[in-house]
Amino acid sequence: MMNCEQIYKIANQLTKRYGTSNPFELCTRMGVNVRYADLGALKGMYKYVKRNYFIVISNKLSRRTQYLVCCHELCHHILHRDASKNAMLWDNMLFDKSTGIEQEANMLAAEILMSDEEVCQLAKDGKSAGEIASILETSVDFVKLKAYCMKMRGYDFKGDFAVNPNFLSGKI
Amino acid sequence: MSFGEKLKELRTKANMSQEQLAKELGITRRSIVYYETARRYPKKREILTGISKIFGVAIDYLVSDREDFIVAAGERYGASGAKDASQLVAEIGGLFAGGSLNDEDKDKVFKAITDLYFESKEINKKYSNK
Repeated sequence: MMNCEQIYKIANQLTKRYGTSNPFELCTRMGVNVRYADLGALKGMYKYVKRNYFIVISNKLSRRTQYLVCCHELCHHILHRDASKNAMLWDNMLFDKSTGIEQEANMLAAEILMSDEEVCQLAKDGKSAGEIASILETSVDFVKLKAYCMKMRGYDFKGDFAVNPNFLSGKI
Repeated sequence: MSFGEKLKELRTKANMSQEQLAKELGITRRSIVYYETARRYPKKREILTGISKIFGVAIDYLVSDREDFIVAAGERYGASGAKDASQLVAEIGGLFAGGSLNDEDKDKVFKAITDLYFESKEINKKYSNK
């Protein structure tokens, strides 16, 4: 599993290269097709079909949640592209928590969606994880994960930024 | 039961030989043999329609949505299309082995993926030099 420094580096290189952290724009720039469909309970999926990359997002989610799902699936494209092409292996990997691929995707997504500066500033202002999530229009789980990654990279957070272990092991 | 097994059952219950059925459908006896031994799916959907009319059953009964997809892909893109589709169906089968989706959701996801397949083929067509 990748460490937080490596993931942070990838996030930075990406946003620097494409000049955006908007996952939909990144998809367009990186040649990943985004589609919407009714997926039942599934929020989103990433699949390579006949030489084309697709992210399918549930059409039943709010626009903001779709944004977060897109980012998560895009992170699979960035980190796990080759693994995903072996379909049988891929789905087992997603389910097997010990491979950590869901966690990696979530960590990269958190780093892409939020900058160190904005999180730092809001935390200094005394905002809770929930408030930060609200302000930055993301989920509390992503904020906590971002804080965790920042801690691993040497930042000092106090208080209520404990990460929910379930979030780390499952999809968002 | 697979399509081939159902076909054989329907045919034998109606006391029809493979030759007779083939003649009625306007195809060769060998095709019927291949269908029944799961070697091949019909190349055209109209054959499925023909079979459903002869035995008075719905197409839904004859083929699962997975099998219908393979036939449709074959009709549109030929033998390689049918092969790709079979492969995709096998992959999707593996996808659900994790077991966290109920049947209805599996069907929805299956449909979404088959749509990706057809779209992919169209995208590729644009970039081929034929």
